[in-house]
Amino acid sequence: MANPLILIVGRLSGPKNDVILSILRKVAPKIIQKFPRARFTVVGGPVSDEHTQLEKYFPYITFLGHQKNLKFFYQKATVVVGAGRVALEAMALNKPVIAIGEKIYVGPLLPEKIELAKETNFGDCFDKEEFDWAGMGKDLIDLLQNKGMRDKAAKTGNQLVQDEYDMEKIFPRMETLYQETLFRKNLSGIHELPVLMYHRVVDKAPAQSKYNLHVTKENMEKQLLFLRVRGFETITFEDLISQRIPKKPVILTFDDGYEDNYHHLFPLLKKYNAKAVLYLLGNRKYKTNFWDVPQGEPEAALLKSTQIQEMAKSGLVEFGAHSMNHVKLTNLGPNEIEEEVAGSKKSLETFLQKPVVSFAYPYGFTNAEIKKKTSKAGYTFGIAVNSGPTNLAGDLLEIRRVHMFPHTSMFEYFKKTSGFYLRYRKLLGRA
Amino acid sequence: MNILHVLSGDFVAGSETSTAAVIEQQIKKGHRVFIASGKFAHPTQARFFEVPIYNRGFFARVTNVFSLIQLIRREKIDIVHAHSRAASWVSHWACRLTRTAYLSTLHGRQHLHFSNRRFNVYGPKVIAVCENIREQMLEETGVFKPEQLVVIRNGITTKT
Repeated sequence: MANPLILIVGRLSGPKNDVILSILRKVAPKIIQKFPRARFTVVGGPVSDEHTQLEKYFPYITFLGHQKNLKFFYQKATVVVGAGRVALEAMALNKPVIAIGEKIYVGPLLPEKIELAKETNFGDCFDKEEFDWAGMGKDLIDLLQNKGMRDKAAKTGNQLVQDEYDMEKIFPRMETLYQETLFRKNLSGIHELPVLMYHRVVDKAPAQSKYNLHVTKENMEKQLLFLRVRGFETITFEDLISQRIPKKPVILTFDDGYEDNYHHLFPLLKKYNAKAVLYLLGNRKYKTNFWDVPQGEPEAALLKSTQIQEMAKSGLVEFGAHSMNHVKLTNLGPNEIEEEVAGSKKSLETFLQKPVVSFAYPYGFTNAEIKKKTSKAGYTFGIAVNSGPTNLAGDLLEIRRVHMFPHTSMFEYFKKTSGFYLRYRKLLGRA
Repeated sequence: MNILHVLSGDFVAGSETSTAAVIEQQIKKGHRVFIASGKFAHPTQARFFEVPIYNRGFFARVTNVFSLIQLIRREKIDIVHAHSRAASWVSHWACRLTRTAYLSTLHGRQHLHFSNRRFNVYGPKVIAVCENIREQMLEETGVFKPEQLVVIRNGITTKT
């Protein structure tokens, strides 16, 4: 090798400085004996008199101070010596790295050293100091002598960075942790967060409705006005994990995605600046409530794509998934459940071009297996009907809701939004 | 999400570089990001507020807590992320007083003393950048359950 360049990168203060000085005093002379034309370049600051003295007496040592373009120096180096971020940056550029931090000498990043390197953040974190200067000298000579070994170290290091330190893999984990922390904080002072369950919002009550799945728009407006007067603020499930929630939150959910939600609910949401969560089928070919009609429920149109887009754009409506085909998931096999749960998420996310965070179980039927698949599909929330703990944070995959009926009076509405309704029903043995 | 990163800012360290990389991703994702620190050498699109977090004198710390409270309220911060011991201490009190979500990253082993062995000032969830730091906190303090300490390694952008 003609002029090997050993690049050492690190802060020249505190314990890092002690380690760098030890390398230059204890290891460098042995390398120079073997490779008289080798050069030790140190990037980092602050450069003090002690460093300039070393530079003066040992011409093979150069201190460059802080440098902005580290990439340039990494690329010129034969071997890079450092810990933490330095090791990562050099490995990303396919350079062989000798990891040594302020606590421990790890060695060349060959496969047998990878676990120790990861555990100690490339030598910076260890419970005691462990520096093998003789070993380091030998390793450095081996690396400088053997191109195959250098290539192997470069390849191992680069693979490690791709597998475990790539920001594209790391960042989503951090985002999830942020959401979890924010969510727990949001719910820390609230036992019952009212999650109200609606379906249709109609102009006039249908003559025959078997399941009473509607409220009139007059009643809906009264209820929204009630919420405003009582100081409630409507939020969505995504709000729970993405922002600090207001002091008196309430979540309004509307299942199935009826077209009357666009005609009668959406104008009211705009008028009262209220938010709602609508649950849609992933299979966009369905035009009506085909699942309820055979049971005697009047036929009702479902939302059109343009209406959904307009509502989503308003920022007042969040969409969640309600399976592909509105089937009882408890009657299905594992693969079919997965198709209904994961398939509807995928379909809606493609359609809406944004993540779908909640899944409302059709008819509210769920069990441990369905919840597992809901979580696996990537939903944060599973929305049930009459099951789940009274405390929303108790089971995010089985969130209990409060039914809203056409005949719900304002006094009942007061009870249902009181923040103790579910516990009250439980006390009466009705929950 | 409105995010506030709190750092000591007494010198340029790997922790600052790692934080800058995370901030870059958060801004790309559309979050509003703020930094409170003594200084922050990396160029960033986040809004920087000079707060001498590195100053550990009692009165300086109290002043820093109030500076953070002001910042949290004014910028409607949703979550605070502390990156050093001094930053964690100050953030802990500012977040308690404003009921703000809060977490810390431990970039290195902690110098443990009476208070941080017995009281958790790091938040309900703590990121350790390697296993050794996580083990230290579990073994040498009595304030963490294993699930509170999560190893998330320092990320690096590999696509150039």
